[in-house]
Amino acid sequence: MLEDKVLIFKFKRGCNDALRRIYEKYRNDLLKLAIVMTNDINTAEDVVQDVFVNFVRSIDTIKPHGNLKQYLMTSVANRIKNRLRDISRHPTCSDENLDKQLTDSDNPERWAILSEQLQLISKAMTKIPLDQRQTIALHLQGDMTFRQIAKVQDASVNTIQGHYRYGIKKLRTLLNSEVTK
Amino acid sequence: MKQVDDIKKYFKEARITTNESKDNDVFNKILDAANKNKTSANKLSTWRIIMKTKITNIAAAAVIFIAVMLILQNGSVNIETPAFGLDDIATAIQNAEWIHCTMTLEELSGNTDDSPMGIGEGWESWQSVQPSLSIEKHSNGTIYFTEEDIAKTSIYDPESNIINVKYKQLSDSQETYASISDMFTAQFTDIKNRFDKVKYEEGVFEGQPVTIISIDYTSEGGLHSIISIVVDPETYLPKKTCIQQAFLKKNLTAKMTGIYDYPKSGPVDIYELGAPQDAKVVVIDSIDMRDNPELIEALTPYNKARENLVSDYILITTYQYGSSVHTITVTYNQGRRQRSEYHPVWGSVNSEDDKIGYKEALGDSFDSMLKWSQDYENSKGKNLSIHIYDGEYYYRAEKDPLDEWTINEKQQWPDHNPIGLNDLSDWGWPNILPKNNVTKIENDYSRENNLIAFERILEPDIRRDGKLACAAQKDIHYLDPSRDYMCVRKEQFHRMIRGGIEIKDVEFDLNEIPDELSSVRFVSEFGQTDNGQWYPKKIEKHSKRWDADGKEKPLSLSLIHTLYLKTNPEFPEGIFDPNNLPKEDD
Repeated sequence: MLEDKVLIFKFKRGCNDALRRIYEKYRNDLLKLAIVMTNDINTAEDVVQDVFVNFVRSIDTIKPHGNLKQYLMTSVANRIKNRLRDISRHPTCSDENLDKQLTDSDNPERWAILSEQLQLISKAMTKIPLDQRQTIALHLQGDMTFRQIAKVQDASVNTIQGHYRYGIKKLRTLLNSEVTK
Repeated sequence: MKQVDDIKKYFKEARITTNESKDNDVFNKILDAANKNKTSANKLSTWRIIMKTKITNIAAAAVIFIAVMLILQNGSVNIETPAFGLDDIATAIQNAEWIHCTMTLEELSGNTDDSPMGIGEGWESWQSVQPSLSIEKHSNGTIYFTEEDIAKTSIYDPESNIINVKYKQLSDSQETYASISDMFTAQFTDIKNRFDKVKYEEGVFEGQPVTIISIDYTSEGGLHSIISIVVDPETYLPKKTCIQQAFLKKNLTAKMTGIYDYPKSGPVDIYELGAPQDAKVVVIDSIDMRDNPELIEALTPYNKARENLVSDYILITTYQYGSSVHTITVTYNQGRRQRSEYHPVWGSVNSEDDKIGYKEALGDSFDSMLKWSQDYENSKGKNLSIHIYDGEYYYRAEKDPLDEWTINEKQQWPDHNPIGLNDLSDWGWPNILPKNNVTKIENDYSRENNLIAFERILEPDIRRDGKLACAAQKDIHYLDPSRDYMCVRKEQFHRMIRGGIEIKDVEFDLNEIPDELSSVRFVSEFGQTDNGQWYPKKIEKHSKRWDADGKEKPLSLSLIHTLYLKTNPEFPEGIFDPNNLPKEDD
């Protein structure tokens, strides 16, 4: 945490190495969060890049005492939520399309390279409701507490815990059916 | 394949890597965005330099004038010595109670796309030391009114009809000046060495003979300035400045003139300058939070009582809404070490049978409660969080309803215990900071009950998304000297906000504090330990709420806390040891 404050301080004063350190420190976590929320590697890459770009553009308004990881994670989750809401107005993707999106990850031109396990999780995650997906992703991948997630989602802690509980049960069932295939 | 039971572990183990070459591509795009951002900021700062340079500030202009005089007197520039000396100018400026200046942009050329003002536009400024004020009124209607002593700037924006009030944190070492002359002299050293060329000549201004000082210098950043100061040779006061600046790197030049006069008085507030009385006032920064020495003294007995609280104890607190206990906290405290457990009951008690069962198990004594909490810790499917402070490090472990533990990284807190919730001090002796937003007061309640009262004002809290989280708030803490200075009552006054509303839609004054209580928390039953230490045994909270239509309802009982305290207990072995916290795999 202290390191983040120093990095933000240095970056604000023009140190690009500090920006690189922030980028390298959180890049993979953000990509993983974006992928488990979207199951779409293209969208995930775009979102993470956008979040970093937005971060550098708004650096002057970012207070160094905040939690940088949480800020970035929440930015990713919110952007995805907005995108998915937009997409939901159009025909939904079929399983076949979802699979295709992830097999794109084998493409050597891709930025993110996923393990098989991550691909399984991402695919299963698309089958649970968005709120549950966001809660699980932010809790397990973003290391955010239920209270913090409740604040981000503007919901009560009980609601968030409910999202988590139901989401995890569904996810467990989905993953077990997948791994025993 | 193996069944996936531990989702968390499965999640954590799922790996992602990145393609190094793409990594660099993406980073370079981010870097480009950062550099463009800086360029954009530079454009603005260029304009700030040109249009708002210190030299255009009347005070600084006079500093330059004095600096020039010093240079001349010191003989560092080989030109004719002026007919008047520094002392004359310093005296003249000192006698000026206010300095008023009208700055106008007269010429503009080059890359002018981002110019914040056009030809003929500018601002008026006023400056005084007693009172210490810096004021600007711009031709677009924006007004800046800065009270330097309290570092408060009010900015009126005519477009939104809002006055934003900003406070800059004052440091105790911040310089204050007794006079304008002192201020100029103090600033002199800083700019003395900036000048390349100084020219002195006689001239005429408004039909009167004047002395004209011209300064020519180029800053390290490539800003070339030629400044002329017209001085009245009789009064020794600057009458006019002409500033021509060229930002060489940006192909941008501008010329501004300033006309000076020295009135006996100036504007007293932002409204006198034209801000409408109905403009909405929004406080957007914290007020001065420096320590207040008088309050430190006034709070000494309270803080001593707080420090001398019994230090070895187990405290169990119930949170009761209506007839049901919602949560139970257990705090083990030994000197600086503390363990706090948070047992939510709500959600695990669903049926009437459950309620009867848990009430029986819970009982109504310290021992039955403690046993219940220990059983709870081992029960399945329930939330639980445990906080430990070992005197230097803070640890937190949380269990979710799926019985999966999250262990948070330890944090170093060498100075104080960061848990600070649900312990004896939190309930009876909360921290009252001796800051400038706290004052000692007397009111009917404090007089009738022989209590000492401290009032704290909190400014409106505006969320990052522009929504209002809380309007201005007033808290009053009542301390009882006859009960170890315990805080026996806390009143809150603030306008209730439901769900956060857009700040631009707020129709009421954010700073207005209602006369009616919004909530009150008071000790309704007291306890005393064997060694005479008072403590709150029962605390009631009464709050305003909303009805289904969103209307405020009057105060009603909302929460009861019952405290069960055991002092100097025998602590369970290893209770403060973070190594005994559950592990993520448990």
